[in-house]
Amino acid sequence: MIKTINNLGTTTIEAIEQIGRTFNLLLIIAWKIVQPPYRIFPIIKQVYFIGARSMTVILISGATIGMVLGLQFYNTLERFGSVGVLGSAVALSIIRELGPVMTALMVVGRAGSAICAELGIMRISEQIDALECMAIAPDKYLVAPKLVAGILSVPLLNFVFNVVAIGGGYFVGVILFGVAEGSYVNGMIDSVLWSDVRLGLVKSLIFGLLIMLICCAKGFYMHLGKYGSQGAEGVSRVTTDAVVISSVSVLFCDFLIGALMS
Amino acid sequence: MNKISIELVTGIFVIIGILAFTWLAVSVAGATFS
Repeated sequence: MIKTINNLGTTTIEAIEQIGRTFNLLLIIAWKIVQPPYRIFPIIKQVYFIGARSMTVILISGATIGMVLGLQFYNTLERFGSVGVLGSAVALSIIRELGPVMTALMVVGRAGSAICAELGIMRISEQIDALECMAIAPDKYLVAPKLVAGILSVPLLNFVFNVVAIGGGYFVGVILFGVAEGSYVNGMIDSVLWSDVRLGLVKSLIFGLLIMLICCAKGFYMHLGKYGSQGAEGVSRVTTDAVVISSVSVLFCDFLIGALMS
Repeated sequence: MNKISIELVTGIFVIIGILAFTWLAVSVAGATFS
């Protein structure tokens, strides 16, 4: 009994320390990133890795989700005789909620896990210690470009997702089910406001920072956690943790931002 | 007895901040929709 309570306390303290370490990493990078030397090429490289190479999965998931939404909304709206608002329903759902969340989840699965594993392997193979020995700040050299690239890439991917998903809804609604093209497009234009687009933009900016911060911190501070001494198995567990925590954080943040900016 | 680290203190403050922010967001949403 005492041992169980002891383990619970230790786990809780470790979890709180991990949250604090992650926030400290954010503060350290925010301080170091404004100081010279400024390196642009690593940021471009990470934008290519996080943004451009995630394009395929974003295009496929965007088209699929748009088509599914078109199908389900058509099915529901037909019962009330209001298929004319299909365009508004699809566009608002995607721009306000599904676009930012699904984009962030796709980026977590594709780029976040890879970044966490990369940093974790660098940590256990002592490459990060070697950087420190060469007087190179590993947080600025390794983590900062990934954070900046996440903040830049996720909103851009979100816009691509929105366009493709609205196109998917158009394909199902107008081409397959014969909803009037004018009501789909004009309903969408009339109902989507700048505040909806702004909400999606703010969400995707915050999600980009959040997922990159969590994935980088999990890999970068792997040696301080309980999986630090487990080698390759530890890297796999840390990567799994990073993906789970990032995904849950994205969903929780989505609720908070939605409630605050509604 | 564990030492109180800077990470632990920061973590506690971050959790308090998240809870306060959640309370604020729910209050704003409640005020908006009521």
